[in-house]
Amino acid sequence: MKVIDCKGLLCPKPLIETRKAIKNASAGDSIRVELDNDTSCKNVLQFLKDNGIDAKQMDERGLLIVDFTVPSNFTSVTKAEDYCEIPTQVQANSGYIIILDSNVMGDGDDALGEILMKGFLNTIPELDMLPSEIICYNGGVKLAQIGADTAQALLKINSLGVKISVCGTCVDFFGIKNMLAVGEISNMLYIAGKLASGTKTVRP
Amino acid sequence: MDNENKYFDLMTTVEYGGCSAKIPAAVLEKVLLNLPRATDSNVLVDIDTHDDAGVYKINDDLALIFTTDFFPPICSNPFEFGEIAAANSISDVYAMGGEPFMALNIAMFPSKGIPIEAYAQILEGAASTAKKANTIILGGHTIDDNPPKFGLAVIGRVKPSEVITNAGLKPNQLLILTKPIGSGIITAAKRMGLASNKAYTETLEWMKTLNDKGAEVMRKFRVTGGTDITGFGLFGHAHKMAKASNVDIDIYSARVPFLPEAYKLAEEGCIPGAGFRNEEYIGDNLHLYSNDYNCKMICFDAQTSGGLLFGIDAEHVDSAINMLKSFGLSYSAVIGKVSPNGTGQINFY
Repeated sequence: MKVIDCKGLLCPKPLIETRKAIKNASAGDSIRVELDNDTSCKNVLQFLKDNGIDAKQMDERGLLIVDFTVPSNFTSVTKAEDYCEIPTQVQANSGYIIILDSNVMGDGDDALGEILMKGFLNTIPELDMLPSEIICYNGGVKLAQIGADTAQALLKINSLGVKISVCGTCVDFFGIKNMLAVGEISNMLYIAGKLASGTKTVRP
Repeated sequence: MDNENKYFDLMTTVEYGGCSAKIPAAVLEKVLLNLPRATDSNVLVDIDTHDDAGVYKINDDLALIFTTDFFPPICSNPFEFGEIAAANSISDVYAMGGEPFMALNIAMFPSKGIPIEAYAQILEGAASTAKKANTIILGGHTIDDNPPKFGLAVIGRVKPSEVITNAGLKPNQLLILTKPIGSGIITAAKRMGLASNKAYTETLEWMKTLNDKGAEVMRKFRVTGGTDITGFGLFGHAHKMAKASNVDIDIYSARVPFLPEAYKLAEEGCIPGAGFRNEEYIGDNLHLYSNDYNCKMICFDAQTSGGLLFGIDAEHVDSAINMLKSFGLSYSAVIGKVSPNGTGQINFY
């Protein structure tokens, strides 16, 4: 068992040490945190609980002890990696880009098209192969607007590591530049470059 | 910043600082539960809606906003602490749509052990910020106590029909936040040597920044529901507004502006205890659709002298954001939306 000595450390230092220990541990490792501050102990316990880790707390001769096992299904409690590198799931399947150039899917009836588009976006997280990126232009940018059901679906896809790019001219045209729930604003040079890059593009 | 001058390091006096020193919201609610309520019909706002300040109507054209806030040091430099404490105290007047005009110092400072010059510097810092806010400090009160604590009691004026409250959000409005969040995390990290000087300096600058310009924008667009983000964190204050306005609020994780390094520090576990208290306070009222733990904990982070959060009709959003940015509030962004009705729930996407 790895023992993390947090005696005499002030909040939130014990949490930082615990976090570090989890990061350096393998699944199944036992970790013991020793503390002498009630508040810090409470915070460590809440942090573990928040992240689905069962912990046991004991008082031993004035010391507060927190024992837990790093679970086997423990991936990372957080996704900071998304911000600095492409997650492995995407990296392995970065074969295509989805183009959303309309807020509806298919021609015929727009009310039906909206339902289909919503269904399409909700289904993407279930796909075996995620796209590397979704590019929205023309009416497609409205899908990312705050309040739209589809924006929530796009946020979910984004949280899986898929980049969402939104055409800047288009959001200006529709007057929704400040009302995007998700997506990075990009320009035509970027979009044209992507379309011409030879990467497979998919249009729903 | 006067790096060239030597000053007494205030951070050596405290374990917890800033609004982290607040009594947890859940505890405070219980304490306030049975207090007698004001029955004077001129009282426009009291503790019932958990607002930032009390409002008392003098006549149809004038109401007074009355508020106080004080806390232990949150930074090393006494002058800067005075600036931040003053900006934080005055902020409550701006949050309610008013203009501050007079104030009193409220201070605790030990007569021995710390050079008394440090106290003079705190007062000078506060005076300089008060001046920027067109507020006169008329006097104050000092108690011999350690660690030091400082803040202001502030009075502002507002037209009774233009008071901005927690209860004033309207269905389907969009929510604008005027400053980045994460100051509790950065200041805690700084004390452990985990935050860079650059991130820390930027954090101090934001804490010193008055909410006067944000208030000007709120007045221009006739905002009715707003608050400032302080000790209860973005989620805590959003919840209070949603509850008082009988609505729910959607907040979009990708749109909430963070201070530099806040995300990385949260990832490292640098989450001050106040964040957990705020999480406990909100409890079931937070519905998570985003699984980003760090984002969530930054939104729970207790802020000192945080920005304004207010509801605005969609047609004014672009003008409001442009105006805020032209005032130097560069992080201003729409971070969410008010639902048509609800019970104070926060949906975090």
